Amino acid sequence: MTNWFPSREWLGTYRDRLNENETYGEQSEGWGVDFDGSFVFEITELPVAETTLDDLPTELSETFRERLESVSESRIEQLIDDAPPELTERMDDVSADSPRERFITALFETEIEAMPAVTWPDLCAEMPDDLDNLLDQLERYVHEDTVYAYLDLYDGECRTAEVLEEPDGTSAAFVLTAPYTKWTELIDGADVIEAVMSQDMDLDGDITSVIVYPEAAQEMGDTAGRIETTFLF
Amino acid sequence: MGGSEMALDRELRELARGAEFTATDEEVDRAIEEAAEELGESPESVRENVAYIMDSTFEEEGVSTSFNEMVSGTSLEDDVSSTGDPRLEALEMYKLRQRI
Amino acid sequence: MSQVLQSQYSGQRVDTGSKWYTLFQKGVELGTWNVEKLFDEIGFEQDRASWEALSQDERDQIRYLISGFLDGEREVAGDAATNLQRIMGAPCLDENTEKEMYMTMLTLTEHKHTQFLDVYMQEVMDDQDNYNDLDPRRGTRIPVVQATGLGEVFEHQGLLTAKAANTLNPVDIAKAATNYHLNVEGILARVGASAISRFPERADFPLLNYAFKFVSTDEGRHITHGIELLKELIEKEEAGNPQFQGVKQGIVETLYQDVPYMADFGYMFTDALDDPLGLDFNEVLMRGGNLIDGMYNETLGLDIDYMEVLNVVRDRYLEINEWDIKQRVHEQEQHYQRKRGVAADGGV
Ligand SMILES: [Fe+2]
Ligand SMILES: [Fe+2]
Repeated sequence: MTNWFPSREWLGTYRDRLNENETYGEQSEGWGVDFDGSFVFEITELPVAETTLDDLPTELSETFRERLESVSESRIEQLIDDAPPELTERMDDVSADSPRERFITALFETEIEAMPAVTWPDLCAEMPDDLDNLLDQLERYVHEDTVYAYLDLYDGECRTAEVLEEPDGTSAAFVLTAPYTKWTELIDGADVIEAVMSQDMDLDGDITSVIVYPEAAQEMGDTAGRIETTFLF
Repeated sequence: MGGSEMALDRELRELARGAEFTATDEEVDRAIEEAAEELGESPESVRENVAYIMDSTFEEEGVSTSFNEMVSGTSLEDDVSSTGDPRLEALEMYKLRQRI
Repeated sequence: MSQVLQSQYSGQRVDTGSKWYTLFQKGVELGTWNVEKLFDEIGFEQDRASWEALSQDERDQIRYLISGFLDGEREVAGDAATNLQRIMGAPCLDENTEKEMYMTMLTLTEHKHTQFLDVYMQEVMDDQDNYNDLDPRRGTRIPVVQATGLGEVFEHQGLLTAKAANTLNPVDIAKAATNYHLNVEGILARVGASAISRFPERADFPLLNYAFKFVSTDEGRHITHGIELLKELIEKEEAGNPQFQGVKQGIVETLYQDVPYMADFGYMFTDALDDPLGLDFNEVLMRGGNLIDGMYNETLGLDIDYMEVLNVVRDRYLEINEWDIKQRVHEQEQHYQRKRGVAADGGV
């Protein structure tokens, strides 16, 4: 399966890779044992307000579009009939000949942020599984424009990694915050320590603990950089 | 008289990675006018010196991590006794400098 | 600030179009604030009242911080007047006349910084024995400075600037300028200043705050000078001039040498005393890292190996974390007192 970032699945892969990584295991031995070693990754400035369904990678959007273009006339009529008011209004603003075309255009011109208002289970059934899953995750995990991921790091191991549905209820000893584009640079191989030093990423927490484990910090960054990743935005 | 012999760049730009501007441009303009009047200098000359106090580098865009840590650097944001705005803070320093 | 900065005058011996001329001229305009007039203008009253109201631990914290500055300012003033002044005339540098002019302004301001701190500590921070009679010119530093790595950085500064003044070699000049203008002025002084900005409301020291904003403004020009000087050396190295080969390496090595001891400074006025004022060692370290990146990587275009930086800082941190700083300071004081005893007995 494609490893989409950001997603729950990507974070799961990251946890597995950290745990398979012997260098990380050795270098972070003792991390979190005498202190709280938990981390929250904050991915801010996700472009959910600017990105439309149409702007998503073609693997997701094109497959869905082709599907809608090829379903039977009666099926499309049914979908149009069931469309929520938000989508119907958007259709009114589209000038196209056929209702099918207006339906598809209105839907694909909708921003990701507004997707929950224009989708419903029966429409989602027509989506490729990845798209359905990712839109569901974006709805659940994006708060304003930010996604929060929690990692329980203990003595060389990543015990849990989860995307937070209610970030307010979780606190971590370390918080690494950066705009989405800086996370993509990290995954493309940028150096995490340099990113923090240059303030591309903001690290909050007990820096003296990090200073004692510089190789572990480096390896956390490099592990992300070695995951075959496809970016959602 | 300050700055009268030099023609400087008078634009007051927020410095990358420096303290954020918190006052409006109008507030700053007014404060500069008032200071100029008080000091008997031209507003241009005061503005030049404010710009120079904020950033003495020769860089077109100003260097990140402003060199004047306590006036235009991020430290200003922690300073509870300051004006909070690097331009107004530099102006305060200039006015005080002209008195001493 | 951009390069449109131009004098309307011109001469024959002095190039009024030189960057260093501009630095000199702005130094004359902005750097000649009068320390005694500042005392008169702001007064000592509020600072004294705030000092009285602080706990002993809080006072120690401020004293350690300001002691680092007092010794630091005195040492930079001394090295500027002697070694740096000579270096400005080095044949390998351009614009010697204007650089020499500017260096007098740098020296003047450093002496004023020392003047301010020396009087301020005496007037506000009750009297504390600085062992000045043991001859500061031979390296008698304030006990807390001598007992921590800060003394090492200043020692290094003396050695590097003296060597460069002697050889006038570009690589030696680069190393001296790196220690002095980037590490001491650009990082130590700025993280120290940022800690003063973080003083909580109950530590309200208006005179100290204003004075340090003048110091910070002066330091802005000093750092600009250091950066421009290093840029000149780097450009000549990159142009292939054989005499300049090794400049960039020298700059980077000087950072790796100084950086572990630089971390001591932050530690000594925060965690070493359990940080009752909340000056936050983490903030100090992060600011230091940001300043390293801003000057070395972004402004000079060098490629700092952060693992190297973190490794040397880590090793040093693990060492100093075991220290009882008050005990070390006490031992240093006893050492000075023994020296004093020997001197009083007619010894050397
Ligand atoms: Fe100074
Ligand atoms: Fe200086």
